[in-house]
Amino acid sequence: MIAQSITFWSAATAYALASVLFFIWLAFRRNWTQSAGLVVAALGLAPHVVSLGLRWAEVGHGPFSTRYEVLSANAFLVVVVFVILAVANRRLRPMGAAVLPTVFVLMGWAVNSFGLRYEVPIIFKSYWLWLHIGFAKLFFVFALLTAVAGLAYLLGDRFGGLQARLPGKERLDLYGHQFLLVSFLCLGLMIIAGSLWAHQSWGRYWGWDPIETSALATWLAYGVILHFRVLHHWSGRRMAWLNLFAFALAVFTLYVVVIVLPTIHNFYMVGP
Amino acid sequence: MNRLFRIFASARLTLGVLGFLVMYSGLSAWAADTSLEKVLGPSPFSAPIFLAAVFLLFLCTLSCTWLRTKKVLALWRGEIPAARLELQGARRSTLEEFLREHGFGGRGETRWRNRPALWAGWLLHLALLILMVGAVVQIAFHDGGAFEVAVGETVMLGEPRTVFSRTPGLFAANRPPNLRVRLVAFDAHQHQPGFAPDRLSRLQVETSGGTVREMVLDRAAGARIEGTTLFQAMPTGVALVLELPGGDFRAVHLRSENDRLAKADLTLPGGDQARFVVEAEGSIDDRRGSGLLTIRFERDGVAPEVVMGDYLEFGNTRAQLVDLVRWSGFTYVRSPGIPAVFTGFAMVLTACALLIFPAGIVRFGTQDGSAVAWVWLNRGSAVLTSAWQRWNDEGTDVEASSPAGSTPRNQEDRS
Repeated sequence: MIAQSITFWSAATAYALASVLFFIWLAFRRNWTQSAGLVVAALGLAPHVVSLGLRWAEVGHGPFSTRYEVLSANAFLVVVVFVILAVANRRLRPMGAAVLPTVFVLMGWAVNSFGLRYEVPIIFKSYWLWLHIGFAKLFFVFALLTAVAGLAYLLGDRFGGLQARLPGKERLDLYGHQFLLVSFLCLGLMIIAGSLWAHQSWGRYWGWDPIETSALATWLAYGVILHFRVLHHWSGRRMAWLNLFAFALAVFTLYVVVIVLPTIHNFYMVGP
Repeated sequence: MNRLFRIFASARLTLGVLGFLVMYSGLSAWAADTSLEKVLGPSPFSAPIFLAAVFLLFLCTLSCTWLRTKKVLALWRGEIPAARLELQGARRSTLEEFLREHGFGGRGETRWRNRPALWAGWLLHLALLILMVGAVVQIAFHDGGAFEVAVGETVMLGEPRTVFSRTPGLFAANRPPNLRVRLVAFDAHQHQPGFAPDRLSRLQVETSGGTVREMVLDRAAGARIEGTTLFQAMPTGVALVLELPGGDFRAVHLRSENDRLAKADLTLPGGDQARFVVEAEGSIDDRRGSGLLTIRFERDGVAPEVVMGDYLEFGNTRAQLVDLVRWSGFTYVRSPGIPAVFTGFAMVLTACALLIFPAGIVRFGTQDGSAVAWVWLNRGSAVLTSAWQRWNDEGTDVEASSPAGSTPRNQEDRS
């Protein structure tokens, strides 16, 4: 318990420090702080994975029950994906200035249910669980990156001085679109894996549960946004706003519906 | 016909229908137990307006897929659409090098980038059509229902009054499957390692053909036998087992009134009404045990306490109370539309995965004595154009630049 707490707070501190370093880079153009921010964020992953592993060993299941486990694992995955992308493509590094603070907020939200522990229900005895939940987490990660690309576009457009520190506008527009496509894929996979899981456990692949319905509506909404780009050639500011809207829908589906409405999915944020 | 397809493939109509479905589904998710429920009805997803919108979406998707087929085939064959980029360079090798760095490999006058990805959108639309057809087949032919069995009891699903809450599709078989199900063992609180305690049953199932299979069921997965899948359900309770003359047994399933009290009203042979009441010291469903149980048999206004082994006046006959066991709920499902649904799912996944890869096509030629590349991309045209401008203006290509800065290009190449 103490080791879990120490490693968790070490990771949270690393992400907070990384956020500060990215802000310094943004405000004062100290280029080394951008690289340092990335390194500190990557270093934070080490205690974070230990904290997740310790909890896993303690409760006997992966990070898919209780707000602490779910949000902490989501934050971990956001940092992993961001670090991989930022190492592979330097132009994506400025996104750290929005990604890392979001991660820090997630960690803060997670920690307020640190003490909760539940045994998972028997329906979790399925391989579909891993795909359903895994893609739900990846959906959140890429929806966040989509929003960050949109935000960077809008900020660059509004504050000319910032533009020089960001990738070109066309490129941000393209990144936003690419991330939106990956989110669309992950959300589709999440819905399909969930359907197959429901069919395995209950003999029905769809039950119009509020989360199922909300996820389907979000997937359709992503489809509408993609159609605006493909059919009406929307791009630039309008798409940037739509990217932010897409993220809002993702947050709503993953975190709001499950807290506000009674659903078979309450387990992962509210508890049994 | 093509005109009709064009009407349904209209972007405005498609987006309108999609937008309506997004709003309708989103609102319906919140409708339960709110004033919205009065507007949308108790079953918003079987409401005519919703079904009509889904049908309209099917027509839009079908039309779009049909009209798109020719366009994708043309791209696949190497025909460049009118909406294309034109990159001009003094030498073809310069253009080839630039475009190779942007994913256009291979040789020849026409080259592709991620050629299979040209089909991504088309495949996604086809997958959605199959998914919708699969869902319709599933709704039309699906059959499902619930039944209960007590430990040691045997039920025939095909017999009247065995199955309840049946939800057959319009074209489903008239009767439930002809299966004989015996509950061999049941534990309402089986603690499987790593999971919260839950139901676990051992069933013996016999088909009409005489095949007998034993299956262990928990709520994690069902078990399939001759096209029917049986599932463990949540409901459970206590049952009293009576031995009737001739060696017949009857299990009376009691319903919990509260955590300590369970009752069952029954019609006795001969038509009289009676009631069994079981009262526990603690909770009947407590996995550590319910404590002392009191059983009463109410008939004609009197409710004497009975114990195991007692003989009861059971209508026009006598019955002996021989056991108190648990009954468990189960469901059965027949889903003939599932293969089509799963095929649709698999195709949606393939298409979505292909969508991620940016596709494009380039054709090289000459115009006014200089080399030209006509390029069509499904996305990223603006990035390619600005990269080409930078390549020409600065002698650098941002896409290929090193982390420390830009890489100078061969001046001769660009001349």
